[in-house]
Amino acid sequence: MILSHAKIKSILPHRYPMLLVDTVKSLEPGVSIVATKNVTGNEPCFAALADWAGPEQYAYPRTLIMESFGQAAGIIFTMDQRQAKLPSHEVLFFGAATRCHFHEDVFPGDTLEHRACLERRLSDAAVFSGEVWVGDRRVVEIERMIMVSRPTTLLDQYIIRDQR
Amino acid sequence: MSTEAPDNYAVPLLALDQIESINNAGIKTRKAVSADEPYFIGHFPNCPIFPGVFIIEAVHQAVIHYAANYCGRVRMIEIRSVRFLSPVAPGDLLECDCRCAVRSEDGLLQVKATCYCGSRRVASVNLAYCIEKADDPKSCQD
Repeated sequence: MILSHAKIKSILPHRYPMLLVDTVKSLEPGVSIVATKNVTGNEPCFAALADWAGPEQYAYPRTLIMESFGQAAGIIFTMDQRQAKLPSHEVLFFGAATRCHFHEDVFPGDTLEHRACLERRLSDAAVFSGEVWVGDRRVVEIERMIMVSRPTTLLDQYIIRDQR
Repeated sequence: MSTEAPDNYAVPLLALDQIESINNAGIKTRKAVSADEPYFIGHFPNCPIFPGVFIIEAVHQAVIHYAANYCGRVRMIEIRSVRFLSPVAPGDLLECDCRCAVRSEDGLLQVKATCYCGSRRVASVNLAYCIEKADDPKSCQD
């Protein structure tokens, strides 16, 4: 492990119950990352399942796998951004994605291993590709995910304008 | 109108609380995004933004409902494309307009969804689903 969970919290703005990266196993800033997330039976997404639910019904939501991958990718972006001394009051958003293939289900007890590569870097956006593995099984392939960085102040304005 | 998360598959949130319309060609759903939903405390502290993946989740839950009525059990196998156009925040009413069709060439259920908050288009989401054969529950696993 090269980044502890504590360090990850200093990099990502996400917090419980939406902080979905546990550790970083390797990181080459601006290039690639290998990060993990342990899926446990205690997660909020399993709370509403009926007692009669069978093993297959404990499949971890695929949307949360994507969120977790996006946060791992966001660590590369954010670390890179710090090196370039860009403003720190920006938040990273999931902007777009194409061709994300899901091969297998993930269950409580599994450890997701995200392997993300930075393909292209723009001033306020980045393009990633990657894969998600559980042990020796490749569970997701992601051809392209685009993350965009936006100032939180712009969002505040947006929210205020909309409530008026 | 349901207020409880489904109890037969795991979900990060109840992302469908009203069905506006449903027919063979698709489904339209609504989700009232409320400030007291539990994930907002972490996404992000002091800056509540509805996670983009939850817009995909809203379309997904709509498709599960559509499929239960028109084609049976389905499994999401691909996010063909997704594009987020505008953030969604507490107080917004998220509407998903999903066009659903089974493609003859591969038998997959193809979903093209456009998501709105009022007149504002917030996302376009294209998903592909494998339809499980009734006699072979493992037919969608590779």
